[in-house]
Amino acid sequence: MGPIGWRKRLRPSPDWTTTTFWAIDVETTGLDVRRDQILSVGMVPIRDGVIRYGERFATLVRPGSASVPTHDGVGIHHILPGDVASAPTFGAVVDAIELRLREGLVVMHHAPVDLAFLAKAYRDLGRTWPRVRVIDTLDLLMRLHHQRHHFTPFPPPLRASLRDARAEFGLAAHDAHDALSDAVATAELFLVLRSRLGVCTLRGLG
Amino acid sequence: MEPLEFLAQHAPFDRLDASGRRLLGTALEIAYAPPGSVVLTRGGAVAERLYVVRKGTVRLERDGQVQQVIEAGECFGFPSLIGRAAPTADAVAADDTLLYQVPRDAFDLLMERREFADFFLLDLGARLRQATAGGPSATLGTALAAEVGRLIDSAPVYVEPTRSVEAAAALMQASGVSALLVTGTPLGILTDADLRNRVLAVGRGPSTTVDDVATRPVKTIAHTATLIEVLAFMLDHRVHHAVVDEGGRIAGVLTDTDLLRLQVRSPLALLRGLDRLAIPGDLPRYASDLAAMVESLLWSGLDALQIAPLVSRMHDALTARLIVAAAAELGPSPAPYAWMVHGAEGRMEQSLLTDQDNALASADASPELEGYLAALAARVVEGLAAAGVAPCGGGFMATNWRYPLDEWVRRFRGWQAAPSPRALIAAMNLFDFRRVHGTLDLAPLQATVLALCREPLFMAHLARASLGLEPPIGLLRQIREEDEGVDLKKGAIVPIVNLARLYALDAQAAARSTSERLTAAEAAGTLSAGAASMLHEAFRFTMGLRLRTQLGAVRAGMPPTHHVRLAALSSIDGLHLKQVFHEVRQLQAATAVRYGTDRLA
Repeated sequence: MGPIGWRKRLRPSPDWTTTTFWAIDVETTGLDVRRDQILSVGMVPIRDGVIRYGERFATLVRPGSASVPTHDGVGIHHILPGDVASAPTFGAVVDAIELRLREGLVVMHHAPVDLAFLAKAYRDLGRTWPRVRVIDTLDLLMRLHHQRHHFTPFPPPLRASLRDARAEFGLAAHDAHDALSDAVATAELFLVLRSRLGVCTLRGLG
Repeated sequence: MEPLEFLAQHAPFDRLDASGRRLLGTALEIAYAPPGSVVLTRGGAVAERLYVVRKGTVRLERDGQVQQVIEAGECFGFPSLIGRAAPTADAVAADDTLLYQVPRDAFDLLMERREFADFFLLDLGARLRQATAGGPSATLGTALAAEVGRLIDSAPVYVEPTRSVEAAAALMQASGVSALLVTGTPLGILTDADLRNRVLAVGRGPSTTVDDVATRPVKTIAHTATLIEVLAFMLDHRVHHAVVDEGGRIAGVLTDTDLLRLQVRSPLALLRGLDRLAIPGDLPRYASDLAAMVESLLWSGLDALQIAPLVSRMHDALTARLIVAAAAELGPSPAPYAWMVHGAEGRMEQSLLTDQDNALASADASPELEGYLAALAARVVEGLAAAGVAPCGGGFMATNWRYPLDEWVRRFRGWQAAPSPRALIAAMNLFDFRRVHGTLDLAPLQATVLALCREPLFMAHLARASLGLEPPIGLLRQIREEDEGVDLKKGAIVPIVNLARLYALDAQAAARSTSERLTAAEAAGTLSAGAASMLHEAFRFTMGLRLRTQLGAVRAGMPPTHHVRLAALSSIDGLHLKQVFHEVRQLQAATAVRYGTDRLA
């Protein structure tokens, strides 16, 4: 397709750009949602189709006394027990997070895990998860993968991690497992996937 | 890499202070432009933000013609943003492109900072002048940062505060250092003077702990400091050690002895050394002594164009010394002669990597004189080679280039009749001749050159030969890099030298150096003031870049080359190089038209 075609097809659509999206990522002490807890949260908004890095929000979170960063977790996100000792509890930052979540839609990469941790953290505070609409970049990636390989008899396996998915579109390796970096990386991936899918409306985003 | 980290590595953001970076951090946007999408439209809406390419490529196009290619780390949109005028070109994403954007409000606040604003407001000539003239420019800062790193011979040695001074002294001795860094927060330092003044002189024993006598916190100096600043630091604090901090990491400890070692390598000291040089025994030392001298001159703030004539004088002195030594064996010459140098040596524009460009002119064609000069040439050329001045690959040396003066004049005139490309390459080289030794007057040769250059047809041939090498710019107007890197000599230095020679000879100027030639051409009106200024600054910039690269290679024990790797350049140096290539290419195109080279067969 020539440049003219792209220009025509990708002219900014008022539909999706009128909404604010908050990309969010959380780092946790481990992967067991019953036992492990949130250690950090990173968020960045997309307004008018542009990532507003200036409005980024990131905080470390001090886990409850029952849980400390496990050895495994430290190896992944490099957050040490000492780093979070003086951090606010989830209860102290939940309002700041929710204020942003309620502004529009939420973007996550592989949402189920992070969502489970957030819902659990809400439950522990005696609150209810606000049930905002979530767009999972992994779902968008699978849709694109399916479109591309619809007629391929043996399609290549989907490379699902945030880093691999970004690499597929030539996006540079980011500082993985830092909540804010992951949130920005997810937001960038979202912009690329939306463009590739040619989706211009909120409904189209699924 | 974080967005702000990325920007901090690229001009002009690399010169923002902490408050400037904070401001940037509150305003930065990230946008994605798919391939073929139009970011700015020529004649369309005014740019409301500064765009920086994070990843991918953006083409600036006019009527479908690519004007410029913007690559990662480079900015666009600022002429429209600053001038509040419609963009003068379409900005089109060439591939998947991530853009960092600084909205107008924040940009206006950043533009209140002089260092930041200069980047956008100065034209190339002024920017290069600023980048090479010293002062707090990013280019110089980066160069000197590298130099500070190179001055430090070894990593710092640490000692724990709980160790005894006896153990610390043993560690100093074993590591060959006169100061230890003391671990802990804040970091401390223990010097040999401390052991003397705070332990021995006051009657403390060897079991005194390091912590009792160390100095805490240690004073550090930034790795971007200049040599002069390091000296001032030592004098101000009355210390003999400067701990060099490189972005929070201790790079090493400089001692006053390190600085002293640099100072003895002055041109005068080297010149005095040449008079006492033992031939051939001391010749191999010459190249490294010369490199050390050039390095300390660069440190003391001279630029490449100021240093090059000093290098040439060293070569002249070495040549004279070799001729005198040869004459001591061969006896005096039977008739007058002139030892000539040409090419870069003739223009006094030598770099560290240089090969021999010399020739001999004799007063007559007697076999006696010819035999004498053949023996002389063989000895001098061999001596120069032993000193690291490689024999010329093209054979332009006194061992084969040896004629009576009237034969030289005849050969020069012959180029008018038969200006083959090969002859013109030799002509360009020889036109830069200069007498280094001997008494024979070369004025007839100079008169012949000027007479040749009054012929328009010869000038057209000379122009065509002068444009033989072009800056390495690709179809998309990006710098083309070869396997070894970008050739600064063929890509910029020779094209600039050739343009200066052409326009100066057109003005009938006898000047030799590129700077003097540009001044003469501008005064005579053969070259516009703008073009002369651009060439002058472009020449100073590329000569400086080459010199710094070559010194880096020599210090790393590698042979110096004319190549630089784009990846090894600081962001602003890369940007300047690209613009130098563009402007030189444009002037070459204009030159071809002016001298009618297309009308030649």
